[in-house]
Amino acid sequence: MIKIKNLHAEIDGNEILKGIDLEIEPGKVHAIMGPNGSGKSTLSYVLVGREDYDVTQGDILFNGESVLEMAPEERAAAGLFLAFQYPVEIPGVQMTTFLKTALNAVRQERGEDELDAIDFLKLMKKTCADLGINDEMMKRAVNAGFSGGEKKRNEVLQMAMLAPKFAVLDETDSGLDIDALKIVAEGVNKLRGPDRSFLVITHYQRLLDYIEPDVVHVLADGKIIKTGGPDLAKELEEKGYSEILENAA
Amino acid sequence: MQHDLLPTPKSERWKYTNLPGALKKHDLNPATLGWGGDVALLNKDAPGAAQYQDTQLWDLNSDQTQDIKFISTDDTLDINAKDGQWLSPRLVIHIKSGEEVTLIENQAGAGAYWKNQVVQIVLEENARLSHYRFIDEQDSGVLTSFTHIQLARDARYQALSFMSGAGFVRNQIHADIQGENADCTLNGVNLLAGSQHADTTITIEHQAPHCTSNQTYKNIVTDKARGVFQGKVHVHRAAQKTDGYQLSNTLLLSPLAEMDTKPELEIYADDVKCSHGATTGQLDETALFYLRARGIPEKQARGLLMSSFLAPAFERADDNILPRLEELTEGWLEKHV
Amino acid sequence: MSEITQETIETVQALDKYDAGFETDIEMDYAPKGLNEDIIRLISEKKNEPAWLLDWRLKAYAHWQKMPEPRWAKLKVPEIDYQDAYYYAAPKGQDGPKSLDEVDPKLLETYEKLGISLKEQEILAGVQGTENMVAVDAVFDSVSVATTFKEKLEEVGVIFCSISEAVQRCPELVQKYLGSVVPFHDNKHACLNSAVFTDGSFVYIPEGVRCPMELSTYFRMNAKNTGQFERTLIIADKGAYVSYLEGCTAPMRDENQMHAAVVELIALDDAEIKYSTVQNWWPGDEEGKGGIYNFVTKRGICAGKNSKISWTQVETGSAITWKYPSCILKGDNSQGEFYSVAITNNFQQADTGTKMIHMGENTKSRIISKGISAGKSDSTYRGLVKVLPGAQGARNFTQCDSLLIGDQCGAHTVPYIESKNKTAQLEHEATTSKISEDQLFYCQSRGIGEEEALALIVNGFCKDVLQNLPMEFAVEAQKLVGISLEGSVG
Repeated sequence: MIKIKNLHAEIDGNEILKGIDLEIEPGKVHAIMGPNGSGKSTLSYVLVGREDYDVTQGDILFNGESVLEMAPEERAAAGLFLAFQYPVEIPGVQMTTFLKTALNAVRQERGEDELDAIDFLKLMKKTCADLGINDEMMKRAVNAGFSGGEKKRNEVLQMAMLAPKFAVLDETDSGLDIDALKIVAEGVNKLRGPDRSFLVITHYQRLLDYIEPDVVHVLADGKIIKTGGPDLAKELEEKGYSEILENAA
Repeated sequence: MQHDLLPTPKSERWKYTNLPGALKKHDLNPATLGWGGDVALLNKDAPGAAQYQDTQLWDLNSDQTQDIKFISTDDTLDINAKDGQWLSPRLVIHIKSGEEVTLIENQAGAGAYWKNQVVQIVLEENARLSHYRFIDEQDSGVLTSFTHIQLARDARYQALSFMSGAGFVRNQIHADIQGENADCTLNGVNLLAGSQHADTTITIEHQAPHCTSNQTYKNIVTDKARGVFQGKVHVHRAAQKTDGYQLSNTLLLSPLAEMDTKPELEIYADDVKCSHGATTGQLDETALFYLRARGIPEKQARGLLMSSFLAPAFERADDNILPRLEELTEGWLEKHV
Repeated sequence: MSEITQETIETVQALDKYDAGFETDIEMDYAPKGLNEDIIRLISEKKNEPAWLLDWRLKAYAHWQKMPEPRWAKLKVPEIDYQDAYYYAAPKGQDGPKSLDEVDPKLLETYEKLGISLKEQEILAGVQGTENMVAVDAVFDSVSVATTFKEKLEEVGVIFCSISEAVQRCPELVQKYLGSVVPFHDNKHACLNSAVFTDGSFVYIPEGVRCPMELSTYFRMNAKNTGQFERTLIIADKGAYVSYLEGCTAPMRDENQMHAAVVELIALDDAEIKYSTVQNWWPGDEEGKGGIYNFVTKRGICAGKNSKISWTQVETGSAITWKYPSCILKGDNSQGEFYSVAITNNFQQADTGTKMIHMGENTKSRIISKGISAGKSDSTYRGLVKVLPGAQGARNFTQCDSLLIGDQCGAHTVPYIESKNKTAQLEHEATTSKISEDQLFYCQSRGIGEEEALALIVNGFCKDVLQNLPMEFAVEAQKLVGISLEGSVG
């Protein structure tokens, strides 16, 4: 599904990612854990093509093809998705308008028919219902005045609507209380399937209690220093990052 | 005195202030404060960007001045005019790199007079100047003050102008921000009563990136007085990452009081944060009622609300200065409210 | 694909952006080129005007010759050669209002192409009830070529016709109100309009009548080297209500053409006038060649108590826009509103805003202005809020936001706030910012292309204004916002 080869990336001349190798098979969930400043968010931004970051070496292959030259919207159409750590507020733009524009742009790119207003609303309502989201939220402007929990649920809803093949969850648990976290995790679990892969980026093990990963990686100073099964996350939680980092060093 | 050399309300920057009209009433003669100072050392030309603004008063001062002060360390100046005087004081302030200076300027007078003052300020890299200007003019006194500030990299200029007596005042400030990471903060309180007229006209030229400017002006206008605030922030194409803020709040206390406000933004760089706000109105009656309902007498409650209205302008004032500001404020409120 | 092919494709696409840029090939009647008393007499004669109107025109002309060009706006206006234009151009055989079946089919086609249907029967067959219908006065260069639904409106006493026709039909109303809000000597452009205006719309809503449908005028400049000088007069009698829309387009040309209109609104006691404009005159090309000079004087008076005038404008076209729709709030408790979106791209210049003059007690005004500058353009908000001593309890709220797209444009805010009444509460806020990279990236990461994302965000930025437009205009305006900004990113 996704293959990251010796990925180096920098912002404003500072190298943040220093050679990352990672491969995720279809249907698998990988988790990346790491301390603050290890390059977690940079990796998520580089995957979906944020322009502030320069890839200086290596490649990202999505289903065998490099995505490095693709614009963010082309990557979205191809099936890459990022659930933002800090979803962006866009005042005045209604959620419905935003989602419909996005979905139809993606569908057009994928060679599917655009949805008319009625079909779109049906799909949106159904998706909201499936995820237990009150569709009143869709009448408001994008993320404007949303609570932390609403913002994260909104990210999951967008994921469900855009049906990506590979989704990155960037610290989706940050700022959520345990109830909100469960709702978000349940939403993600519903979207798991044999053709869809996930990369869950988190600082804490807590989220991984609810979204169980197949593989766990530890990221430190722009490199993956350790890879293991779900137990690695628990070990991290118990021992803390410092010990693992020391052992790895 | 040739009145036709003076700026008139026909020019946009003098739209609300009729200087020839104010001077016409008085018979004034050139006079001196006895400062002396070598005219030969003076750079007479209105500097830099000031050239495309109205410079008549600057030029007039250059021609007339016999009172020149060169300042580079802490100083306190009393600029007092006597009846019938036309004074042209000139302050030339040059702060060397890394130095920190405080200047206190006390403006006052007796009878009818005109002070046409020019203040030239040059701040070298990382120089700091705190500039306090207390204006307490007589009702028939006229003050026109033209301050030009030139800021180099990392320089800080911080001014507070406090006016408790205006007569007829034009306080014109022009800042050229030429180096990166410089900051220019202009705060002011104008308390106007009787038939006083006070005009604050500011232009901030942001010519370098990563600089900040702040203007906070508070006006209380009563009786037949008239306040004018014109503040312009001009962000040049090169001045990316500018943070420019401008606020003018006015309380009108009497039916004949008047306030004219023109906060202006002229912006040519896209990555900037600039905003301004202006309000004109009365004291918040609900707040007043709330205080009275808690047992505070009306007069005291009004005083309290007005002091809190003025407070943001004092925010950066030095602790040594605060008592004087509070005392002057209280005195004025006592007399006029 | 080679870069050159790509460029060619883009150029061709760019030509398509301005849908209204076509030219109608129709035989025209012109008055001789140039401006003098004889031309004014000729216009007046063609319209069979009464003597008072000709006198008024001539007085205006005499005054105009002495008046200076207004220079205070932040605009670079090239010297205008007033003698190098036609002041009267009408499709042959169209020098008077005709019934719909007599209108040249070419003209009907032109408006059809612009999305304006003048075929009453078809509209009537298509919708139920009148509330979704729009009556149209179609002005083609100097003359009104058709007005729809006239009879239907007359059933309730509403007069909606071209101003030339109104001069014949209800001269007393025209004489009473023409120039009463915008006197001929108001400014140079209004003065020229008073001397040479050729047509425009006239609306009278009688006492207590709520106009049963939206009224609209569609202005089309077609002929080369002509100026369009229309005059609109709308009177809402006591307790009346009307919503009026104005649209405008012109062919793409290399020369600049002048449009100097005057609009006067009069609202008597308890009356309400809602005036919406979508201004899409040809803005000139990417190099700044050609385009319309849009010098417009629009002013309304809330003459009666509890009356209300609301201006909504979406200004996307014109090479130069100079326009300040204003309200004189004379009646007690009257209200004025100004909602504006002004978008400039390439080499466009706009200096636009409003004046709210508070005279009556408890008068209220609200100003929401959104300026968007892209390319090498300049956009200025210029507004006056003036409270006179008698305006006890006056209120104003002003919000001006500017958005810059790219680092070669300018955005300026020049408000004048003058209060002579202590009970007045005036609030003004203004911000200038740029399109947020975060917002753009967020949209893009959801699959929305950069230009579409920009249009989406800018439409969100303008929402407070756009939502005040009547439905059918709002959709049109949203599309225009996107189109006008094309080519401004990347």
